[in-house]
Amino acid sequence: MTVLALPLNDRDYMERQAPTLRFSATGSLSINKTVNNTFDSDSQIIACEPESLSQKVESNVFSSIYNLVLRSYSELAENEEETVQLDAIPIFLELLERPLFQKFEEPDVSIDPDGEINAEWLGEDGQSFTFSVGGKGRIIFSLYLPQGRKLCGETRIEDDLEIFEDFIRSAIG
Amino acid sequence: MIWKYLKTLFGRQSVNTTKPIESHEVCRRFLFDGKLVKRNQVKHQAFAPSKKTGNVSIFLKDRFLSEEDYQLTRKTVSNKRGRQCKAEGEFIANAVDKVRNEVGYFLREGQFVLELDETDFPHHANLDKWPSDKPSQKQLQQALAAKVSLINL
Repeated sequence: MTVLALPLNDRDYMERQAPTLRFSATGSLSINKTVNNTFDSDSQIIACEPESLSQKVESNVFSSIYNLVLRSYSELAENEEETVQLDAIPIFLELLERPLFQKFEEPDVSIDPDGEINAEWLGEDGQSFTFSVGGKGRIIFSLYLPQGRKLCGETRIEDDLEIFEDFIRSAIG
Repeated sequence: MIWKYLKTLFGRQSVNTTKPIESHEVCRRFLFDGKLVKRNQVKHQAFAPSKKTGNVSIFLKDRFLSEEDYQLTRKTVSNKRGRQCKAEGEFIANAVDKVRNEVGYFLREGQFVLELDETDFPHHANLDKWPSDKPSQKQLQQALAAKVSLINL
């Protein structure tokens, strides 16, 4: 096991929201499921097991996140923006390990102002698909195609990710 | 130096700063992070509301009396931020209305508006009163980013 030691993110986490999935084009759909928090929000150490990750994710995405985290602490904090939600890292990597994402090109990885880790695929002429992951497992996703579909929603890592993946398949094809 | 200051001072006084923002006005967003740009496109995160202020800072380019005044303001903002402005994103003010009409069906009256705020800088405005839920914010950011032209510095 490789242990990545990072500074303590001691900010109070946002209140957990009800697990919901909302499609802007089709109305609201609520999903009620038991929420199990598998990550300790006060942890100082994020443990990852690179041997369980594909080489692509380990070598590229993981190093991108690591660099973003270091930068987040040195630059975002100076500008009083939020620093990265460390507990989001293993969740984010877990998502990118899912077979669906293996078919995609590597996303641009960045940190949102609220500290969530964001992946984005930017197409031509303003097309974009993005999702962000929070430390308590919240997943925000949004698709914008200027001449096509415009959808956004929210789900949780504990929820049935098949719904999230179905959304991506139906949206992107 | 003094002349430049006086010129700026009197120049500002000659402008009616309470003039409402018109739909054809050119808006510029300073980009301090090169990662906010990809393949000559401005990414949606360039329009993520600040955690500190809850809004997105914009300058009304055509209200500056000269390019020199505009660049001086940009330099002042850069110094205040402690970071160099890497590029700018440009859009016409009515792009905000277009975004609202395109994807903003969930917005309430008075949300997602471009408002003049010259508290710290002349010819400054905020894209303000964002909806609180993040999926809606992302969708608005993506729709606006798609209407923005990149200005390389």
